[in-house]
Amino acid sequence: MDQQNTHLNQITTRWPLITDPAQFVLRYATAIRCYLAAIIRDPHDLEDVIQDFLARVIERGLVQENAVRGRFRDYLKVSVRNAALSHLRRRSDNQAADGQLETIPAENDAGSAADNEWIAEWRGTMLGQALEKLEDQERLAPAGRLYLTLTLARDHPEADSVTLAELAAKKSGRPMTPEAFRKQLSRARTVLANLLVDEVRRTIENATPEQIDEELAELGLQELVRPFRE
Amino acid sequence: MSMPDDQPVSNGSRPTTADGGSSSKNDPLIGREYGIYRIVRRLGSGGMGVVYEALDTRLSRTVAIKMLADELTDNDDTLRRFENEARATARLNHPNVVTIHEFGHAENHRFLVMELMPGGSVQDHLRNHGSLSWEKATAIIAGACRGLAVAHEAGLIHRDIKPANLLLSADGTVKLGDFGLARSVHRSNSGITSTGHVLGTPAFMSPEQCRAEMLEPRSDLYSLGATYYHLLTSRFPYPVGDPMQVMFSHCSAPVPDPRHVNKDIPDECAAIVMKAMAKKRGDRHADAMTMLAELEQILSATLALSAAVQTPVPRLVKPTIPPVPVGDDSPSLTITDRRMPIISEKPPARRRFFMIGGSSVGIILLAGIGYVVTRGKGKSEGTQEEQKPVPPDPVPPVVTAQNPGKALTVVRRKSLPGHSGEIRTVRFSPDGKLLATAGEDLHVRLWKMPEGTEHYVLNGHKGRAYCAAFAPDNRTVATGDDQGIRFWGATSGEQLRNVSGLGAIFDVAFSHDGNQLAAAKGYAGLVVWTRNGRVGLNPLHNASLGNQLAVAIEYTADDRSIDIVTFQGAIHRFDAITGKEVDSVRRLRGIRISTSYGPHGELVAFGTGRGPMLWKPLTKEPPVSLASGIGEMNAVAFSPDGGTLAYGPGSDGSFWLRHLATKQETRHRTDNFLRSVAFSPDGKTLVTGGGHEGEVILWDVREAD
Repeated sequence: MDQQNTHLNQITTRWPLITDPAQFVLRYATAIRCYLAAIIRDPHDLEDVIQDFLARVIERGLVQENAVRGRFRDYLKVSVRNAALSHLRRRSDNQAADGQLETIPAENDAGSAADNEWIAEWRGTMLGQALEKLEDQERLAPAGRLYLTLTLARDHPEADSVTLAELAAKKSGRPMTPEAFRKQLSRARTVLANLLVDEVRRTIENATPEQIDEELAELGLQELVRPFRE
Repeated sequence: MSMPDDQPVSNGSRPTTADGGSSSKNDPLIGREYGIYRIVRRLGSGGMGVVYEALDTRLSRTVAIKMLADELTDNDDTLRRFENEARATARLNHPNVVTIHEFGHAENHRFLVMELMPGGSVQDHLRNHGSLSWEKATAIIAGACRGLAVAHEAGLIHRDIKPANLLLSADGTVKLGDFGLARSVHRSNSGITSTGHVLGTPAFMSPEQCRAEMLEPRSDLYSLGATYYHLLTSRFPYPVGDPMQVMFSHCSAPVPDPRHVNKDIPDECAAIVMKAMAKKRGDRHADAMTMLAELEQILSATLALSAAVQTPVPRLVKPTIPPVPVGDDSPSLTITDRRMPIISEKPPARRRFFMIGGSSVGIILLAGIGYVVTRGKGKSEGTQEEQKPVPPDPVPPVVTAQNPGKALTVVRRKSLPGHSGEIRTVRFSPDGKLLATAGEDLHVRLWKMPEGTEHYVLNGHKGRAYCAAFAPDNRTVATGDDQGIRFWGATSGEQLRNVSGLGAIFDVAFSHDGNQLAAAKGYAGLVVWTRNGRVGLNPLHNASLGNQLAVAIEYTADDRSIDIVTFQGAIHRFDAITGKEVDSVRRLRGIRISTSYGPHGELVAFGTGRGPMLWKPLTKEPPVSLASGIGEMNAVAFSPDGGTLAYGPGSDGSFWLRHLATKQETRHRTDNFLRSVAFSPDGKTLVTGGGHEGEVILWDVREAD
């Protein structure tokens, strides 16, 4: 228990915004599954690795075997990869799973198919979380209409601001001029950008603005965020 | 993360009111009395406490009592949830929600008194009788969906939908129970307690619930979809075991297809399961009504097939469409009876026309679809014999090519003061004795006609009042605002009921026989209820229109269909009983501003920057421009005889009356921008509403020189 608490304390110390490693793992569950699916061919092995990994998270938190500082994204990927290796090595004691072991990429596999999958899912999760937060904010305080303007612009890319303002007015039941729509849309993009930055900041130890920028760029979010960051 | 002890892991069992549950002779509470309740036997137990069957000695009825476990009475979280369940459920009054009679405490025991559900839970039924047919499973989920729709309408999220919380009454009606985890949708509710426990039952939890994020009504729909999967397959969507693994699967594993377990499950059932269980909330059904509509379609098809082959369908629950109670002003014909003519009748050979008094969206009878109308309360059957339309007095006869009627003009009679904002709707009661005006000043006003004296101001709308409609009996008015629908007594001005939580309602319509109410609910599309008495509503079905905005709605004269007009300029026709879309028309280019239906099936619509265009739906004929260069139109209405079109405004606020046969036109000035217009049923009065200062004007209609 002391060892578990020590490990958990390390996690929360290094990433103070992560109060529950298990919750954090669930947050990025899709990325974890897709990454594992990219490095483990056998679907039964895949589910077994997931089971092992989750059991370790529950029991021990996110225990680091090699010091990985900086980004939680890297840390989590290493943990997941190590869980896959451990499982397959245990299997290789009894069964011929060496072929599977060979498919596990190196720790630094930037540019590999598996890494690309990991980044794509991580990016998707961050965007999805930011959008859902925006939607939740609007549900509690509908007056802002930020989520509404953003989704209307997304769903009607060819429409002009006159059309979009009419749609927003009809949907919300309150009038909206084209100018007001443009302003709200700009505001919505700014809020979304800041939500994304917050998501990124959560996952970097002692994040500096430069590190956040770097992470945004690596995730392909910088172009989306840069014009609207406050 | 930790799981509280009272959250089951593998079987989801919760306190039930199962008949045949274990009764313990050693239970000290058996035979004791708490107030007027005598404990008779023990029914079951769960995390929060024990459930007993009890006798209400005052009313001589059996009830179920959930007794909170002694060791939990000091737990603030648990107490709060226990009381929360009582309050949440007590607010709901619906056949598909367990009724709460009382909440109280005696001798250090806190207890909840509710209706006894002798059928036990659906979970019990599965355990005792094995798997369900897909028909029964679908009927159960449809009943649960109705209960859920009511809860969501009331602003509640259940947060623990699962088979063990779907309870069965003696007649097999499904009722939602155990609202112990329910929370208001308007609060910043997450799926986590103050001590960090995740709430819910892992086998049926939505991904956002697993992640302890903010929940909303679609989170319940996920759980209902997972429950549906379980009923269809007798298996859990994801293998149960370690809670963390189950939750990880909910968050990341592919959505399970029940047909992989049982290939005989209809595609439609599987589609509903898989949509409800989408990982992203935006990919699920928009709301419970949308899901219910799809379930009802499956059940309706089953009913139709069984009626056609005269094979009874084994039913676990009551027919899904409840009968209209006798004694109400609405017709005595039951909804279930109405269903049969649709199944067995052939479409009539010739179309007929029928009209009721003017409104900005008047009567619909679309060309090319044959419906025969017979006038009379509640009668809507079609026949193949030619029937002469019998318009109600004093509605003028419909014009024909041989008798095109006279060109009309109007003379200003008086202004109706009171509104301070734009008038969105002006609508006459069917008998023409009342006029309703709905305005952006949050009020709807009723006026006595033809005098034009104020009758009542209907206060209390939330946000803008968009629409008003009179029930066929002229006694009840339904209004729509930013949050839902309100019912008012037309003669008393009293608010009879508030149906909130629906979102903005842009238009409402009663069926002509008074049995149904339909609403245009913006992007949520069409919502239809069967009426239960004067203000009771039972969800029937709804239909989404994708990215189209539903802004106007009308029943066809025979009540068999409902036409929805969208802001994007399309008309969609739905079967009034099944909610299935049966037809649609091509879109008018440009943005539709307003429409009106003529008695011959034609439609007038307006586009941005264009004048009025005459358009016959469901034909190949292109729209015909009536006039050009007169700018954006806000309002249009046919005269009761169909011979004249009133429309406006012009750039100076004027409006026109155009005789369609001769194209003779008269122009009239108002001091304000026209927003709405309507003719009285007798054709003798025109009402204009609109502008920025809430001006309502009565005009006398006369024949033009």
